[in-house]
Amino acid sequence: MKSIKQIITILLIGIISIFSILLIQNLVGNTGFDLTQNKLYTLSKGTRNIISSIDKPITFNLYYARKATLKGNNQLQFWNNYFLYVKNLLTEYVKLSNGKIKLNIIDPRPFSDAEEQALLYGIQKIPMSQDENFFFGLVMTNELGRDKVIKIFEPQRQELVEYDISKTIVNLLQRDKSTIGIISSIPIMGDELSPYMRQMMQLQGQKTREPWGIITHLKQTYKLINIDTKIDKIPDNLDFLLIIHPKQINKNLLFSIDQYVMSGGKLIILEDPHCLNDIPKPNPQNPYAILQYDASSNLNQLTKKWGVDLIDKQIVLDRNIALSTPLAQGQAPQLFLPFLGLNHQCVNKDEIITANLNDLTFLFAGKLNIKSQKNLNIRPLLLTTKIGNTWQPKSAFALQNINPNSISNAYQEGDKAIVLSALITGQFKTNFPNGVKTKRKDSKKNNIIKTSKTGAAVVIVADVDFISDSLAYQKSIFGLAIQGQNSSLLLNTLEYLSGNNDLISMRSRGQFQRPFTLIDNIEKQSDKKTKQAIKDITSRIKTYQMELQNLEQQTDSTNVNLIQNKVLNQRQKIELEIRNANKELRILQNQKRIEVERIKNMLKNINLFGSALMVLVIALIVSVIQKKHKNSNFIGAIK
Amino acid sequence: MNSIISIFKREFQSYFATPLAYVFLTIFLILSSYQTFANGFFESRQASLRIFFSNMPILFILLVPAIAMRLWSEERKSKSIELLFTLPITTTQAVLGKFFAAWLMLFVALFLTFPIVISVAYLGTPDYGPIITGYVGSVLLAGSYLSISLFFSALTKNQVISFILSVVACGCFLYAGSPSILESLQNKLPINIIEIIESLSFISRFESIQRGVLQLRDISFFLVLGAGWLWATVVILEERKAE
Repeated sequence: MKSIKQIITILLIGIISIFSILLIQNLVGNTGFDLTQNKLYTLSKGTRNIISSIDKPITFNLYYARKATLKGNNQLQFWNNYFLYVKNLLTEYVKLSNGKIKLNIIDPRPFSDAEEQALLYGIQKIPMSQDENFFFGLVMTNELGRDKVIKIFEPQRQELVEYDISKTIVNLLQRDKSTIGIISSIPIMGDELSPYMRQMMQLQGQKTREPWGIITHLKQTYKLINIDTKIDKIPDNLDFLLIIHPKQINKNLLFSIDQYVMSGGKLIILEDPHCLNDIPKPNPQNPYAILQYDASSNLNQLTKKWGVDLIDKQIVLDRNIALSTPLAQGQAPQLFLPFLGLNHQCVNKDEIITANLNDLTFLFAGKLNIKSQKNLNIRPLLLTTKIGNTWQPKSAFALQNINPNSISNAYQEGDKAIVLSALITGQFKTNFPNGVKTKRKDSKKNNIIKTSKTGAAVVIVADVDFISDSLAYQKSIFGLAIQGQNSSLLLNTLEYLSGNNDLISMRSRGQFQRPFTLIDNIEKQSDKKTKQAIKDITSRIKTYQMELQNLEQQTDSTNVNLIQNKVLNQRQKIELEIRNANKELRILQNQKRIEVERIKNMLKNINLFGSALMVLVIALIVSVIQKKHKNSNFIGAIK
Repeated sequence: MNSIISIFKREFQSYFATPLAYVFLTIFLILSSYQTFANGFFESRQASLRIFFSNMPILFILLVPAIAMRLWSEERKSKSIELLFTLPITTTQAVLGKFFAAWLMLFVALFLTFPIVISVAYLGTPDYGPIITGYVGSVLLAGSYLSISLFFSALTKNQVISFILSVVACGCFLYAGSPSILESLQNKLPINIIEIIESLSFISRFESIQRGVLQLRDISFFLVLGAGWLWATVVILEERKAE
């Protein structure tokens, strides 16, 4: 009887415990602390908003070739770590989604249905061995049958993985193409003709202007609307506005642009102190006008109030990153200071737009002056190195007749990096608090938006030429091919700004990998140390081999008996030398491995036996204390 | 409170009176280090203790029942339990005293693994967040194993049976959430029950803490589960102390 009562009580305790666990789980939700240095598992506010905007269930299928990587060598450990991180991060998405997101982890084994499915979705397959393939991608599907895919989680985008996942969710939720309005004072759009008309005109010998490569590139993803610089108002419903080389923009259009930003719009401005693609039309009446032509542009009228302005007609030079180029056909390339090759040290690694860029070319770029403004967050995107400086040409004529040597002579090293591009977010203030006077009387003052709504963002790049066909693309037999990452800069910016404000708030996550720096340094130093020695030994071996060859050539049928002994001795001696040299080489090459092994064994021994030794010491101390205690008790008892 | 402290002191000191504690500590330290190096800690070239902590659930499953098995079984076998309960203490106080003494012992064992932290700091720049949470998770996991083992120690006079039952019970909780087990249960049980089983899994809770995030749901899970088992131990002892 007693035992039945006992069993019931214990069962009851079990039920109460399970019930309490489930209850607490629901009550506390995800309350907790992320103690990792870079808050690796705390999803940003932007992601949280995106997750909460999901209305229909989404399935995440994470494909990872787990079994295949377990079979592979140690280097694949990196991928296992990366997979665990992505898996944990996706679990956070699932936890926050209140059941809207379901996560499946799939290991596509060779010749399985899962593998076929992964390939159908376009997950990248990397062959590892004859049987095994590597997969690491994500497919998101919703109930409507739409799907979006991250083909592979690239190691170099590890810090951006949250952005990539959230961006893919946004793409899945979004239905239509985003619209870009383009205002350009240079003929970037080409002649807007139908292919038939273009062909007809070409047949008639008339010249037609092709759109720039970047326009063709953009049309693949976006809907483009060309906006004439002469009109007064930009069209409504633009997802964002791209202004290229803004020149002589009328006040009404300026007001309209300003109000577009105020209404939460996204604006990209490409301006330039000297745009090489701004070519004046020849004027037969005044042929010298070309020499005085001003090819500069800026939108300081708007952006100065927002904290960023382009320094007029000053050109940025930087010897550290300047590139060499031939200045005319047939000339040898020479260092040209206004031609900048921006590498990884010139980009802001914390910003998603630029975090992965390291190969940009700018030509005659300008300097952006930044002045912090209340309620605005101004972040530089591209910078020169510390020795960057500006050069002011004496006249427009000096720019038409470029002399690299005189620019080099005029250049003085600066002491601070120059900002070439900046991103502004936050609350903007209008430049037209009183509106503008228009011929029409329908403009009412109370229609003016004075401070921007949420989501407004402005990106300014102090160069226009970087998106030209000559810098961003190269001609190939298949048409234009992408060259460097110039087009990526604009595409990243558009992607980053397009549509979703929550994505804009995200930043790159910072350091993820934590390598054994000690071992890396040892290997580097050892390589450095042994490089010369290895070179010496290799050349010694070569000399010996040549000597041996010569000796063999000397021995022919006539003298073979005569010098046989001598040659044999010599040959043995050289062979011994080669063997010794090879041994030395092996020892040197092994040194690195030996040193690393030594550290490994040392740590292993300390951890294995050091701890056991510690326990022994504790045991000794405790036994001595206990003995003393016993003795004192014994003496006390005698007394 | 004083009674709990007296039991706690007596129990904790008794570990060091015999070689048992030293043998336990040595085995634990050697095994944990050996497993870490054997599982590719050095070859991964990452300054993190993820591999070290990933061994803890398995190591504890053998070692915690080993130190807990004697706690009540021995008392009952040698009949010292009768003496214990003639003292002015309640069963709950006795259970808590013994539990905290054994828990502190496990804490000492974990503390003595500090050379691995020094090693990883010597090799690179680790993120200390996951290391701290790794230790917190290990302490909580050890506490849960201990409360389960304590229950089985109270259940039987035979230490070996107590050990085996504890290992099996801890193993069930450890692997409750593993995909292969859930997959095999999927056809036999309704989905709600499977979800409850999944939510009782030690491994997913431990992994969640170990990666560097201390969540209330995970901490409370270990605490509530531990408390439940201790309560059940009290119930068992109340009934059987005189047997």
